[in-house]
Amino acid sequence: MTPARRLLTAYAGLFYFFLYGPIAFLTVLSFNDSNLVGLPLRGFTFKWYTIVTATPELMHAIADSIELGMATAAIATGIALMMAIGFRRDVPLKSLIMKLLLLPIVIPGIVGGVLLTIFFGYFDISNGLWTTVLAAHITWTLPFAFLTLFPRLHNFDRSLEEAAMDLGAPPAMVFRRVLLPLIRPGIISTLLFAFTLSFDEFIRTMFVIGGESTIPVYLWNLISSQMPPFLPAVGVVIMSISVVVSVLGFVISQRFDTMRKRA
Amino acid sequence: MPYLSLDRRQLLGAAASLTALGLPTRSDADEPTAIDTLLVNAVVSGPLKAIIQKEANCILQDAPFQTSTDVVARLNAPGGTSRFDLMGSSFEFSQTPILGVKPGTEKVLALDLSLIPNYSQIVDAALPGIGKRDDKVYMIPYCWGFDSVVFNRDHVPEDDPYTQSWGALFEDKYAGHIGWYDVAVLSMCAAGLYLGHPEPYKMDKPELEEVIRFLSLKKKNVRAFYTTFAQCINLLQAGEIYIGYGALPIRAELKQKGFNVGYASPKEGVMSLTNELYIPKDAKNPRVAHAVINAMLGAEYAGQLSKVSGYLSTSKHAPEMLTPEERMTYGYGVLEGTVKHVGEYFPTNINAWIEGWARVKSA
Repeated sequence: MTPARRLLTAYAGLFYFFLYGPIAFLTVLSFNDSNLVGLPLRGFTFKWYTIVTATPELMHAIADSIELGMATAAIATGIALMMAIGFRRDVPLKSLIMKLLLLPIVIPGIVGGVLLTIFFGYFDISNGLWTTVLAAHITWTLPFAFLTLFPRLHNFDRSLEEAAMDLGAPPAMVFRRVLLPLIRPGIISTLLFAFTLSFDEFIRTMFVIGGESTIPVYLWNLISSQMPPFLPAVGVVIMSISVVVSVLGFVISQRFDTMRKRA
Repeated sequence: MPYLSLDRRQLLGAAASLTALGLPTRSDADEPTAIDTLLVNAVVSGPLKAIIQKEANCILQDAPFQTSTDVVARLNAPGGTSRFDLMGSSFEFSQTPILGVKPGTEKVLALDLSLIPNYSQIVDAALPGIGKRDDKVYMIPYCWGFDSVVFNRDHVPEDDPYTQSWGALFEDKYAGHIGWYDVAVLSMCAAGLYLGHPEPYKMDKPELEEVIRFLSLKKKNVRAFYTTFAQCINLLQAGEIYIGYGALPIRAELKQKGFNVGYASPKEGVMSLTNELYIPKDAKNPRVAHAVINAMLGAEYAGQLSKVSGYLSTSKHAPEMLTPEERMTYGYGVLEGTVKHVGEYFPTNINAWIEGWARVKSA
């Protein structure tokens, strides 16, 4: 092995260590039979996972986050799809509107949270999971959903749609029978991406949430006041949900690609 | 075959009975009302929440609490006076921004004391903490907290003279095992008290410089800075630090975990604060909010508050519900006048304090 290759291998090793080391460490700690979040390791136990599943507030927060993530993903993807279709044509102020659409990405989360608090305050909208938090999550995920969908539609061969229309298909049928099947993998991956963004969102949520808790907010409460020993287990559960959703997206996307190639 | 015969009157009677069975046994007025609160989470958790909900016949929906500054900022933000039914923060800091500079600028309701019979149960020591204007009461003190030196009794003897002073946080004896709370005002006040300034929040520039120099010099003894109570708890449990700047909830949590925790009463005085309750002026459920305030000054709540959260109740009911030993352990001496305390006030030259603390941290 040449010195350059050795150096590259060491670099790659360190890269993966710092990337996945904390996740692996958190997983190890979640099975540590100790009342302390940290070392030393004192034995193996499943009890923290038992506590996690037996804590109603925690399970409720997880359920709320999942439901909110699903609603956010569906609404943000729907809006992003309509905008991506619309932006295939030249519309007045297209460039400006696109920049405005992407604004939530460049605004720091804490500033976004303050802005949302003021905005909802002026309109006297009560804090709640399905009012302010849902709106905050949609504004946060919408630009990402748009950025995921727009390139797929932008590169789409429009002659396929034109051919369908030449054969007498009305616009709704063209969308349903031509466009939708071809961009379906993109829609599914956008849905899943939007879900994970919503599921993990914390800063903006903190500003606009009421008496309910999403899982990141619940976790923050635990971390700031108690540091309970089941904390790593909560982290692993949250991580697992995000990983499952990502893997699901990858599998579905692969399956559609295979089906399309076969067709 | 015998058959059941019913005349019209019997049929109507039976129908009425069946309908009555199907009706709820309580009227709508008895149904618990959901109210939105923003209070220190520890004071409305577990059994404390259950007590309040039962006594005030409500469902408490408490939002995540960050700091008193955050609570006041939320109250003053657009729509802030209608977002919550009941809010809470520390008195010394909150009074001016909540009551405003002149009559009529209050962000909160004048309380209807007839709905809070337990108002008369507030201990004398807490009376100065009542937020009043023109004989109207706007803010009610419901609990006291104080900060002191928290330590691991396995490593630091209870009778160690260092624990009788804030000096434990600074002097060399426990070098490498000390934790400082990364909050400029509190940590610098603690140092100010140790250096002989009885009202540290009033320190002038030369006195502040003296504190900054002292802290910069002693920083070498510090093992870790922490920003949350949970971090302090974890550092003590892990044995990373033996001594730290500690608030009451830290001690309560460590006790519940069976940790051998000690809590000092520095001769310079512990640093105390009063937590207040107030109802934003456009609250949607002010009547229930009054009932919650009353419950939080009630006997059952007062008896449980210290056990669950570590904070001290301002209600006269608390001593009745606790043994003398419990009162001593929880630190009721602060309220009873046997433990010296200094109020946590906001320094007027806060910028100089924050700049000074930054210098200490980068020293």
